[in-house]
Amino acid sequence: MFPHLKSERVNLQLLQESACRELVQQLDAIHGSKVIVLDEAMIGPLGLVTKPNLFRERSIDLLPLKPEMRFPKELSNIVYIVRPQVALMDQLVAHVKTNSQHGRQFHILFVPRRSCLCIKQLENKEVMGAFGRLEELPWNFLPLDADVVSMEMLHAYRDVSIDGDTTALYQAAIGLVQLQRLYGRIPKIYGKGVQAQLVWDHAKQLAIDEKSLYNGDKGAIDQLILLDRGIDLLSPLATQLTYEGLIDEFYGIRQNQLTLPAEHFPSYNAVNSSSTAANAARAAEESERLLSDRGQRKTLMLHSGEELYAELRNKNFNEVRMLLVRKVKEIQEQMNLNSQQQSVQEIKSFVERMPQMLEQKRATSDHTAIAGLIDEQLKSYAFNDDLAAEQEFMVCADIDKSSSYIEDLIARHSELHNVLRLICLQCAAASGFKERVLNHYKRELAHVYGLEVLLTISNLEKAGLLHAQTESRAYAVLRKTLHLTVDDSVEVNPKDISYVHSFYAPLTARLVEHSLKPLGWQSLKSQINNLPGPTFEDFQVPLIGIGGRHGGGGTPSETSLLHARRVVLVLFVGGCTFAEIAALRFLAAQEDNNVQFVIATTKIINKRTFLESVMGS
Amino acid sequence: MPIMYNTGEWFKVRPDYYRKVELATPDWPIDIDLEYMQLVAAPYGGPLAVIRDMAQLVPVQGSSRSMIRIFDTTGNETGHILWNHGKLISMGWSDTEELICVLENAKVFVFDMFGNEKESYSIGGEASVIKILEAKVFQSAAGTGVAVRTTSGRIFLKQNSNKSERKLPDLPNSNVSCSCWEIITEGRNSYCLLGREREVIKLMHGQTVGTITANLFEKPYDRIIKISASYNHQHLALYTNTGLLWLGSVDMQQKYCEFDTGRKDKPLQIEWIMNTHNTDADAVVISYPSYLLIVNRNADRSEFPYDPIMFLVAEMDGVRIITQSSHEMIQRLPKCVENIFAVNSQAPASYLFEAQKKFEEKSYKSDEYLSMCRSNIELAVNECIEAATYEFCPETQKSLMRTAYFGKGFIPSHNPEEYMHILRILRVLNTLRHEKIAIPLTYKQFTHLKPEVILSRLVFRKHYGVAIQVAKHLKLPESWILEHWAYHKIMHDPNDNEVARKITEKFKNPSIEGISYCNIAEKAHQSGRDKLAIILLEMEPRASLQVPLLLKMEEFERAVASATQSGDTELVTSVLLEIKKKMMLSNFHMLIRNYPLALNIYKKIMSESSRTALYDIYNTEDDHKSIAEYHFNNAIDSEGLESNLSLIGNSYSQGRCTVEAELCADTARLLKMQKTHANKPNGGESMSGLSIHDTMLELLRRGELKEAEKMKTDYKVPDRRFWWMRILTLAERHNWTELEKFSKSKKSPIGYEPFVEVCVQQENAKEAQKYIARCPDQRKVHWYMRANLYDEAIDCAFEQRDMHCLYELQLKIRVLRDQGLIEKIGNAIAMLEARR
Repeated sequence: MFPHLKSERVNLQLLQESACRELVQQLDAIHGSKVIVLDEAMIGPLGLVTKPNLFRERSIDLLPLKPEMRFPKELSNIVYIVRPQVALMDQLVAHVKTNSQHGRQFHILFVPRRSCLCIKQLENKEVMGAFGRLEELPWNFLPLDADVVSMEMLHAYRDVSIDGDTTALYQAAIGLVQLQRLYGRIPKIYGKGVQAQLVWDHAKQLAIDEKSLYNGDKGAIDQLILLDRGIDLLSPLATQLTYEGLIDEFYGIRQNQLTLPAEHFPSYNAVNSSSTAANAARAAEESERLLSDRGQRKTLMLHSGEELYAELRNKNFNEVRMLLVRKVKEIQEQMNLNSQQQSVQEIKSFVERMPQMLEQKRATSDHTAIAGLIDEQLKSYAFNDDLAAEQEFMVCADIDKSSSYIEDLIARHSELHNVLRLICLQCAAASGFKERVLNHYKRELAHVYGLEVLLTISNLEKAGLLHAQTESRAYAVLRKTLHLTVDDSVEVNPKDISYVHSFYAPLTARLVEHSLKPLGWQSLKSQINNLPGPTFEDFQVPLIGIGGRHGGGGTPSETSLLHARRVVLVLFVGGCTFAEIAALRFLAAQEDNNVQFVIATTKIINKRTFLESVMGS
Repeated sequence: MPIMYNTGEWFKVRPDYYRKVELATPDWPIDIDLEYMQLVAAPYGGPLAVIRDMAQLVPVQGSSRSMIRIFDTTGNETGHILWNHGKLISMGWSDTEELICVLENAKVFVFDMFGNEKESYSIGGEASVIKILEAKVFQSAAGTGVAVRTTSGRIFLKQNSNKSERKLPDLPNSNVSCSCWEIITEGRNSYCLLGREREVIKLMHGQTVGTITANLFEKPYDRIIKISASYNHQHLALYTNTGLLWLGSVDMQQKYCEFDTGRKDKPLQIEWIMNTHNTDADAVVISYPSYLLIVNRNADRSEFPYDPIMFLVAEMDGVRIITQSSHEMIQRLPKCVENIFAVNSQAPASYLFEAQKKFEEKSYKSDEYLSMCRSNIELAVNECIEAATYEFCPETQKSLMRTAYFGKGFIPSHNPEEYMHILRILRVLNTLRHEKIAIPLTYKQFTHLKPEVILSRLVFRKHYGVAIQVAKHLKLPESWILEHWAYHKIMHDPNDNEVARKITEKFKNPSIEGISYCNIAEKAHQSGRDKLAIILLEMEPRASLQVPLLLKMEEFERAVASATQSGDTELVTSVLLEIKKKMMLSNFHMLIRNYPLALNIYKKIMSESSRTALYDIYNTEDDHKSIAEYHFNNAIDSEGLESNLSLIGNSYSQGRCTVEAELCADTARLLKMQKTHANKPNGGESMSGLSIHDTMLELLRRGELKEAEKMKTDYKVPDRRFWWMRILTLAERHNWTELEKFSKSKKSPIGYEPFVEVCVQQENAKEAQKYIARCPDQRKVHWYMRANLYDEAIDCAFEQRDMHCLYELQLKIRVLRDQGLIEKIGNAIAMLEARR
């Protein structure tokens, strides 16, 4: 169903299929005509595991959840697919009160877990009688791409760090067990950070009953690296300079989908190719249209199934410009052959290539349009000034004083969100502020934006984004030891992951890079001591026959495996950015590393979404 | 062929051989004299229940109180029931080895084999009102049932306590009382056969009247005095007062024979002997005091003098006879045994047996015997194996198995599966027959019952060790046996730590799978041993199983600890919801504050449902910052910030948030100031709600510089920001001269770029140009560009010989399509390049 998820070693199609099976089982257990009502937060995730035709085949309609809904008389089952949020239950209660009729049942499928609070709420409102099945769809990690799975929990970092609600960690642990069920036991585990350690502890505890994991050979994944977002709060706040990162920051990519006003795409409607990509996009649009009425908008699918996008997504935007120019030229050349066709054979082969060429043309025109939009944004002075300030912080220039750039921004009453981002970024780079500086910022912010800003600041403090200076100055030290900023970085045909932020390499990606070296983690351990939280490692060995096979040089299959690519699962607890993903993909693309990554995250975040999630109360 | 073994116990009832097999001799307690007792025994070597026969006059021994005593087959007492329940009519064993006692008043009591009462119920209906005369416990496909005959002559059947009783049709001519009766089952249905005078009456549920069958006998008689159905309810035996025996099919359509016993005394019991090799029966055994008679369908007989009193127990493949001094089984001689051991047997198995014996004796004759069975050796081996299964004597089993072992060596590619299987089962059977276990089962009974049932019977008899060994031997799961063992320990060992130690010691064996400490802890809790339950629960790795039981035991703190430890927030939530209902709120707070996760989850729940509860928590925690924020949020929601500011500020300062507290004070002053301003006659629009900064801007816009400056000092506004305010407001109002004056008033703390910026913002390039000149050199090109002063930008860059800037400019200018500029920049670049 989802060819772009296919991969040789860790085929995420399996994950998608198993999730889809769970849904089908739940739906088939409900007899009679039914309609599915979707929580807004579930629309995207549902699209990651199923296609609309699954519902069409069963003649089930999909409706977005709204406070007031009326269902046709003939429907005997109303099935809600929702996140377990108490607030949503009140809407359900209202539906039950207005739509109850003889022989009709309401059902709830909670994703990923049944919630006793929600059920209690239904009980309190005395509508439990109307409900039939109250089940769960245990979807934790959802497949985004051939090498990315996401829990789609935007507020994971916020919930854990501000509210102390560790549900996301527990669910991640369940997700890890589920992944191991599908892909086998992961023998080696490395990790850094308090929350990362909690995830792993829970996962180990949960796996006690999974006898099958500890019998037999290791699975398809060789290594797991768990990284806490809390160890690197600079990267998610920094402006990403990869193509994909920029698209996400400016327009937002929702579960592989980008939706933009159609007017930006002149060729929209004109191209009528039968390519799979266009079909996929259309299918996505269809589901979009099923669920909302947003007028003339164009939805593009952005994943590795799109050939051109796969090529562009991880490149620095400066390289993308050049690549697009080259693409356009190529297509022109191909098309121009037309006039000089000589033999019939040549014409025939040309015609045969036509659909492919048209598809290329369509993709190139789409991406030229998107790149054009982004280019406009990048030209703005504000963007460049912010970027310059950001980069000053990254190299720790004047980091301990309050920044006059930020002060000027405040004085001009510029957008609060961006101001706070820069302050947090400075704080991350400086490893905390001197009390005087922090108080100065607080006072300035409160003077300009009003007293309420204190509540937002309080959240930032709880989230660890604003804090008093620590002894260690971790960032300044690691910048040197781990070469987080690179002086002679190049953006085009780069040699180092720092290209994703022009010259700054995300700490998380750097840690992974170092761990790939022989004895990498061991030597890292002492270096990253100054980062918050424990550094840990663990091994999962089969229960029986531990000592038996040593010394003999291993069985033939084991020796041949030595030369196969290692598969490393990197779990970002608290979210990761597209730039970090791009950096890891870049590492995987280096032949010497002989590695392949599967990236797991609570959610793909960017400077905007991450900070908004933390700021909100 | 050779004389052998126990053929002395064989006897012939033409044309078949039968035999008596001696089982372990029962060793009755000294005060048990079966002569004065009623005895009922469960089939499959099950327990026996014994009670003094009330119908007889008995010399009193020991206590005169009536008591049901329960024994195993070797006479070990497993339990007793002090009988004070009422007048006992009849007893019987169910197929689950429960003793069913039927009372005169239609009450039924059910006991286990240790004499513990399991349940009691009443037959119900009419039977409860009228006294019960007789009762029978019968087996059917639907389980064990009870049949009662009332003094009014009516018969009721009750399958079990949950089902209602069924009344059988009334007897025709009910004034004549009947002499004997028997319950026959046909699949799931049961009916009754009654002997009355010379007739047999069939009463079936659902029929209105009974069917009468008469004239069964040829010889004269007055009354039928005994009816007996075979174990499989296929055959019927009738006995008359004149000593006539009638054998036939249960529907009485077929008569096998009529036999005159020639005896005048009343028989004690009549039982059919089921065949060993199939599910049919060919003979009956009749017991009289001191005399045992065996009669078959061909009317041939065999007889034995016996102990004065004996009890017959029908089994699926024979009849057991229990007397004061012996325990025997009469069974039809299996063909294979006959083939091997019969005198002058010509069967191959017999030769093989002899060959093996000679082989052991190292005699050359072995080969001779072997050659005589060589052609049928496979059959011979199989017969030996089969024969071994029928033997009770281990020595005989061994020699037969040895023979099979010897013989199979001569069969190429023999599949040893069966041989191995039988060996395993024989070991188990011998163990079961041992007097310590005392369950004498035949192979046929064993396979019929299934090993799982046998295991559960062993477990029920608390033979845990043997059960585990048997399970291991037969490769069956053993963990549940351990669980039962643990239950037993919990019920009977009073030392908590000792029990826990023993249990964990046994359970930690990794080969045992799927054992749950939780189930055992639950049992411990049920038997009121919560301390033990907690020790056991601590061993349970799965919190989701632990927690519900802890809650049930009201071990709230442990439940919270366990749930938080697991990290399962859903579990934590459910625990919190549960215990909050059951605890005082203050205790609840004190409890959860030790568990940060629980506290956080509780705060989260409360933040969505009850903010005041949140306040209580903060108060207990002395979390003043949170209290401040709580008031703050409330104030925002109710739009009453002003009145709450001092409250918020106080909380902040209590929480050592000095800056926040100061800012609250500032805001309070601001609000006051804004109000006085609003009251001024020329106040203009209200400024309330504006921040300090915005208020100052507003003042500046209104030209109230003095007021603004006062605020600057009042609120310690930094120069930088004040300058920004000044130039922003001046530029906004296009007050360019004032702006220029201001720029010259003193050295700008923000430099002159902001001046450029505000001019550019207002699209006044001319003014901007003035200030660009005062900017640092390296920023000039940038600002010329932003002010769209490309000419100047090129000049400036050229002057500074900044190639990089020039290229950047070139890019911008190309877009503008201004030919003059394009040329100019081209020249500039060319010139600079030339100079290099």
